[in-house]
Amino acid sequence: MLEQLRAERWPAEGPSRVPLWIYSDPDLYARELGVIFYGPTWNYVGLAGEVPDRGSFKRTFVGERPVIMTRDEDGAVNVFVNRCAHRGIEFCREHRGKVNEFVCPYHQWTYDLKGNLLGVPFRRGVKGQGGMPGDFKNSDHGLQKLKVHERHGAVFASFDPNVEPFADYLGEDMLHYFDRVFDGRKLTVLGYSRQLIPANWKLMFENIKDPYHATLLHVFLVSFGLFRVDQPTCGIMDRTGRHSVFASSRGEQKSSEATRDMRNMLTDLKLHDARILDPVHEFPDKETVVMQTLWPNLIVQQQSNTVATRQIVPRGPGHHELVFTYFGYESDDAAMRTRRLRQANFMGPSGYVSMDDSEVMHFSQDGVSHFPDSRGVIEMGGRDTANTDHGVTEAGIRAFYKYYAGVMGL
Amino acid sequence: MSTDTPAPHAASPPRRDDASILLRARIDAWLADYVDCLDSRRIDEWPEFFEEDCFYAILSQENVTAGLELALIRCESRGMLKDRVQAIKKTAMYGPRDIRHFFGGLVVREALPDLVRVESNFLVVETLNDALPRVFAVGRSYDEIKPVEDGFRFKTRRCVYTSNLIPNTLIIPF
Repeated sequence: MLEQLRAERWPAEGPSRVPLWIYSDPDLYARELGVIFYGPTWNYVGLAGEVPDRGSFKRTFVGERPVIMTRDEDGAVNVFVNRCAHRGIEFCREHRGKVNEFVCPYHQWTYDLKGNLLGVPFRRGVKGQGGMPGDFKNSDHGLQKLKVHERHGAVFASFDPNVEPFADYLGEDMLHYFDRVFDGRKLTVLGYSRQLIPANWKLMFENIKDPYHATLLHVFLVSFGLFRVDQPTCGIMDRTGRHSVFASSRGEQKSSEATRDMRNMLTDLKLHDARILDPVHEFPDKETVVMQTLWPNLIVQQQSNTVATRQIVPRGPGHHELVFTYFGYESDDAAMRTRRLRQANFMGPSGYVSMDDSEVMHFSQDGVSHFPDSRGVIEMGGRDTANTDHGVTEAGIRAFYKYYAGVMGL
Repeated sequence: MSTDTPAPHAASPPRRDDASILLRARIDAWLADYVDCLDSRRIDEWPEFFEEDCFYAILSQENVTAGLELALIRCESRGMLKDRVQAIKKTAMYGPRDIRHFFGGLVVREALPDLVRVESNFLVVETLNDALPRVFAVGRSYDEIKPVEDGFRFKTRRCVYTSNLIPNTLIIPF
């Protein structure tokens, strides 16, 4: 009975309270997969440059479902499920590669680069025996195809053919920030890192919408002035609240009124080799860090010169995989390339900044899982969901949960 | 400084002469000290195992195979190693854990008077509070070490982990 009540109601206070059961409930998680990840959403699947040539493929995920991104004969990018139409085999096992066609190893059903079924062994039988029924048509048994949208080298896919157009889905403000990093220049992949985080996927998504923690948890960021609450910061949400951007400009390593409350601020910290803090201004605006969340599975990271996509792959209610794809631009010289590789030390499973997050998310999951009937308090900066021109706020989290509760019918 | 990714080595004829066995034993003993430093929470001493001008990286097999340079941890000097230590000790927030490093199968690939190329397998076991020990990472390290008066120093150390997936957070280097 209690389960029943829980599953249907968000606290009456609205998005300034978050019920903790949403981070561990298996039924809700199963519904999220269907309603959100397999529903009318644009899911990031990769960079177009990862499939440069005809026959190039990348194995990736939408929600928990394995999918394959390919470049076909016409030069178009396709995304289809990594599940044989015959018996459900996940036939593609390599992260990346190049093929002429896909062959399921079990019964050798063969598919083209668009996911169409090309052939079935023994279709007409052997010596007059067996074979498929006369009305079996290859065209009825292709791989399930996803709708695909590519924008400036980033590829998104949706299981729902009726998903709204990508530009409308992002809205003008989010598109502006998206195009800031994906500005049409050709991208160069620098590498990947993958981590399995023992926490519900929403904890990662909301973490990036929360500048309040960034200025307190991340002593490295704060101590070296890469992000601080007293720096010019803005928080912008799209009209729905599902996407957001937090942007800030770098300051100096100094004490101020604001840093008095930051118990961990270390003003005397010095680097032995300061080359990691040698950023080059490369984007047209003043912002030195812009973190964008695009519902439901993408974080676009730009901190100084380290630029990456972070793809969220949910793995059950209590885990998610975070796949970082670090990139630069084809126009980068050797020094810029090295700079990006060096600054990658900020992020990922052992990043000077990110490691605090993955650790704290583990702590979060350990807490929330055992107090499903308790609530989180999200009141920093008030109780509303409006855009802000500062970082002393949790408005991004509130806006997100307001939207989420609507989508999930809570 | 070379950032080449480690390539598979052609099998060289194993050297079984006493001098080669002694060299291997010396390096093995020195690597045991290295691991002891990491496992005994003497992380301050970790940079001292490296030359001033050194290169250290933890790389995924996935990236190495694809010819991609991105590392989980990348240090281009002893100073950067010290900065990593500073982060571990002063700025990073992480839960209590016990980390044990195991290495084995040490092979000397090439022994020049001033540089020795060695490889070995590594296994890292992590024990978090309230959890059973688990294999954190497994892989192979490709090291270039310099003989010095009191032992050796790393000129380069590249640890390539095979799983590609890191169980949450990597704090202590390999």
